[in-house]
Amino acid sequence: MNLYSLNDKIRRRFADAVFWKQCVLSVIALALIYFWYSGMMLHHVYDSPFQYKGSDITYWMFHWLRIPHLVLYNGLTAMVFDILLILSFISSIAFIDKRGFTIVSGIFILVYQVLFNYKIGYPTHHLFGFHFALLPFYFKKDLFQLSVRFAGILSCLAYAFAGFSKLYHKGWMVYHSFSDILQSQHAAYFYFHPEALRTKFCLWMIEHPGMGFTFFLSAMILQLSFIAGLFTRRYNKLLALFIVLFHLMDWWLMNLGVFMGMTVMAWLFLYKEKVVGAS
Amino acid sequence: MLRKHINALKAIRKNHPLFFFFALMVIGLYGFQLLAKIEITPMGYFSLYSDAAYPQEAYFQVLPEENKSGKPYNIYRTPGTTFLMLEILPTRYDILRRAEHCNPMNPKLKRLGLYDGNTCDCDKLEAFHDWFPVYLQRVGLHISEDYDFKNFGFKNAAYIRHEPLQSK
Repeated sequence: MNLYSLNDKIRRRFADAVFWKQCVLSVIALALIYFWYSGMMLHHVYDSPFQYKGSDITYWMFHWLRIPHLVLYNGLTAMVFDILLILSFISSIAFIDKRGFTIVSGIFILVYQVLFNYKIGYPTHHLFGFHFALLPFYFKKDLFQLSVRFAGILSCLAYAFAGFSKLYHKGWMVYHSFSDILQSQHAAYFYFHPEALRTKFCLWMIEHPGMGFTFFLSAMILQLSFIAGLFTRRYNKLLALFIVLFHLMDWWLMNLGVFMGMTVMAWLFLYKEKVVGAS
Repeated sequence: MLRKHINALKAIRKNHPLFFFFALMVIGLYGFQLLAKIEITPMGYFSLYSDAAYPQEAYFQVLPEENKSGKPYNIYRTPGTTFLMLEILPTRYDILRRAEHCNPMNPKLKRLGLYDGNTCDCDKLEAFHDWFPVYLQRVGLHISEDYDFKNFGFKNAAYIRHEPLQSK
């Protein structure tokens, strides 16, 4: 196989919506299995004393409709829901052409997210990338490309606002700020794992605030660069790379591997609408 | 370039009015939540760590302490990312129990003329101390019955001191 035909094959793949759908559904299914392994499913927390509603109308709606009482009635009902959640994604992969299965999976994961947050007392946000990545697959073919663009815009807004927030709150203007963020983030982790590679690397960064400052500034600029994605698709490949880089950094430096699943959003920037030069 | 985008939006509104309305609703909802600052939305998710942090004598974390030993319980011996749950749960318990009616969003709700005046959330939260060992057991850890939550202070991988949790 020569380089030209390989390139052509990759282009065809990147323009294949079914290929991306399989990828997205598989990543989410694997992430859910990992959450199960990590004690993050509903049957792990169904009887917790939290019933967090905060100020989000979705939580209040669920609470008023007594959905938590239904799904989290006991350990068995919670586990049945968890199994159905994972099975819904496996079914969506098996019946890849059936849009209904994907919509059901989307509803299941939304219910899971709200109930999980309700029972741990905290609005976690490691799942929103899944919603964005799934969004285009809910629509009919004539709206597919438009919804890919819309989901891409939502992703760009998420990262760009984060960069803007960093700029506005001026954390970047304090030279040693990132060193103190690292100390705070890993306070107990450092103590329990003094020999870990992450500990050594982070402590080295703490001792060299200039490195931390550079890293923090780079992250802010990286996030701000998503503003470009709101106006043009010219830099989409770069933005896809930025998503992966950002979450790799988040895992390595902040020990937030739970966010790695968010890299699935990169597909929104890699999807090619047309195969140019395909034979 | 702006005109090109406006024309594209007009074309979407004309050809796909339902999708246009859906997109507008999503952006509008996120925008409202952001402006009203009532809840973190995808537009504010990664805005954590935006504020400047300053050097402290110790960096505190809420952790369990077994048998009044004065030592923190190691929550990092767990599979996958379970440790995050064990960091979040005691911290949120501490935040929620000190909040008005155990809803830390109440000050923000008040700004919108709303208020969560429930009388049962705090009562339920009292069971947290008994429930936490049950969760630990589910993730493969064990803690003695004689345990309590403390604010443990660390710096540069060294234990500095601990304090009791703040009263309500």
